[in-house]
Amino acid sequence: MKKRIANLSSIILVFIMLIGWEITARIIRLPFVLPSPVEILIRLWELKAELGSTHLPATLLIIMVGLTISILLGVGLAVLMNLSKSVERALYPIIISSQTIPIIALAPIFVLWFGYSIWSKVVVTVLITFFPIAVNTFDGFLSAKKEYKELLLTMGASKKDIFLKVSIPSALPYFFSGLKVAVTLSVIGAAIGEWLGAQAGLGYFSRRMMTQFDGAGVFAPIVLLSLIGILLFLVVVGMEKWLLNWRNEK
Amino acid sequence: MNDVALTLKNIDFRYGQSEKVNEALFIFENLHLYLRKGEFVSIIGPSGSGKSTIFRLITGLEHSDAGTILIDGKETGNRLGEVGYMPQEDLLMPWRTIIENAALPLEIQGMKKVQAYHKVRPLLAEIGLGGYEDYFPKDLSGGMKQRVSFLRAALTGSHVLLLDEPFSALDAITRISMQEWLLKQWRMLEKSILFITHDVNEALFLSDRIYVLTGYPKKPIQEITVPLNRPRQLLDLNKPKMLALKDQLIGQLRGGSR
Ligand SMILES: Nc1ncnc2c1ncn2[C@@H]1O[C@H](COP(=O)(O)OP(=O)(O)OP(=O)(O)O)[C@@H](O)[C@H]1O
Ligand SMILES: [Mg+2]
Repeated sequence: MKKRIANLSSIILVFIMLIGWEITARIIRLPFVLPSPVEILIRLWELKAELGSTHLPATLLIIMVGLTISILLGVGLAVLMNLSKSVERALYPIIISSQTIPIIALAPIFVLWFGYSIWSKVVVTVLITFFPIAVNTFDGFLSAKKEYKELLLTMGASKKDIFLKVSIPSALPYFFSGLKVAVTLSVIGAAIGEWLGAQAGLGYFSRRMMTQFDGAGVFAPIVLLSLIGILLFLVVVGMEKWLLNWRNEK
Repeated sequence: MNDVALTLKNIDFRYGQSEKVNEALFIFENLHLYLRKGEFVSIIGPSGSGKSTIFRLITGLEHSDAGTILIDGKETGNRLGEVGYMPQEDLLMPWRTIIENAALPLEIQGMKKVQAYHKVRPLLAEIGLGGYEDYFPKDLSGGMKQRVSFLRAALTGSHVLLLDEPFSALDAITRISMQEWLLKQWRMLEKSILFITHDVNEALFLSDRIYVLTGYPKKPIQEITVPLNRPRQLLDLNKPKMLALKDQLIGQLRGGSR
């Protein structure tokens, strides 16, 4: 009940902000600087064929490939660091410093390396999204209680048993926290990648519209991007609820 | 001596492998202890006297600096997986259902899940947890959780069970019914039980013999035989000789605490 009220108040707040935006936009009447929400929706409708047939699929592909690689890479790194202290000492600083790279400055170089193929954008997405997954999952492994491991040892368990039956279940909630951050970042990663060099995609389209002073056209694909982000987030929350059913209230 | 389930001989032990041997760090020096087959023996002692450490040595989680530990008269490798151990907290895994928790030792022994659950299901019903198989630990009371934890220890297949203060977190009434329940399980399952407690009444009610650990620095362990036949009633503890024994035990524990 409380939760429902919280949801409702957030919806009301968004609605009020949209109305405020609409009013402001109608007053200043500079659609290429500040298009109104209604104008954006109309433009989205006009562009639906073009966006839906080429640009949306192109961006979705980057996001999906990027996230898949990020999950494999992030979890892989966390497992490696969990295996030995010296691997952890070697890898952890590299992982941290990868996040200090100004990706926007580097992205043109990725274009040089990978051309206009999807890989230049996938690399940007992966660079942004593997980090929360790796760090959270590793923290999850560290959170595994020593007492459980010892109990399993007294039952004659192998290292593999302990990893499968204690480490992984302990890390799973942390992994999902990381994944929730990663999916929202993945949308940003894909958009940045496309901004900096692409021939299709929602980020690319938005930029093209900017050169044509089409304000509503800039915003329309951005609305789609944030919808993708929200949708992915909800999918992850659903998976989390399903896999971590032991945390749910009866 | 082939009726002995467990023997600890001349055990020296201290935590940490520090170079300088600090005498005060020794938790045990020349510790002796045994458990006959089918016997119920308690270890009683004040907090910090090393009771749990004895169990860590027997299970193989720690290694003694000197001495031998025999299970069924044999000295086996590292002893991991040789005895059933019920730790001080229930340590049920929150992400496993009740049946999954109880079946854990069977899974580790390599039994197929379906088979393991098939074996565990009737046992859960027997300890009054029929219908709770698919609940998670958080939805059970303290007493129920302890019963699952006991079943899990019993399912390791060893006839030697080490129970570390299993009932200390329970309220007085639940505790008494759990003690009676445990005696019933012990008779039925034909196990040899070594039981840690710091409750004198509990030790007297349950045990054939009691070891009194008055704790370090290195006082020798003392042994008491409980002069009561079985089956017992709680009222038996009010007999004059039992009251005297109780006073004596409390005196020993007081003298030993720092
Ligand atoms: N891993 C460890 N490293 C160093 N010292 C330890 C360790 N575990 C226990 N000790 C010390 O060894 C002593 C005995 O501990 P132990 O846990 O065996 O006591 P206990 O009799 O079980 O106490 P309690 O009744 O509180 O459970 C204590 O002084 C404790 O501080
Ligand atoms: Mg203890």
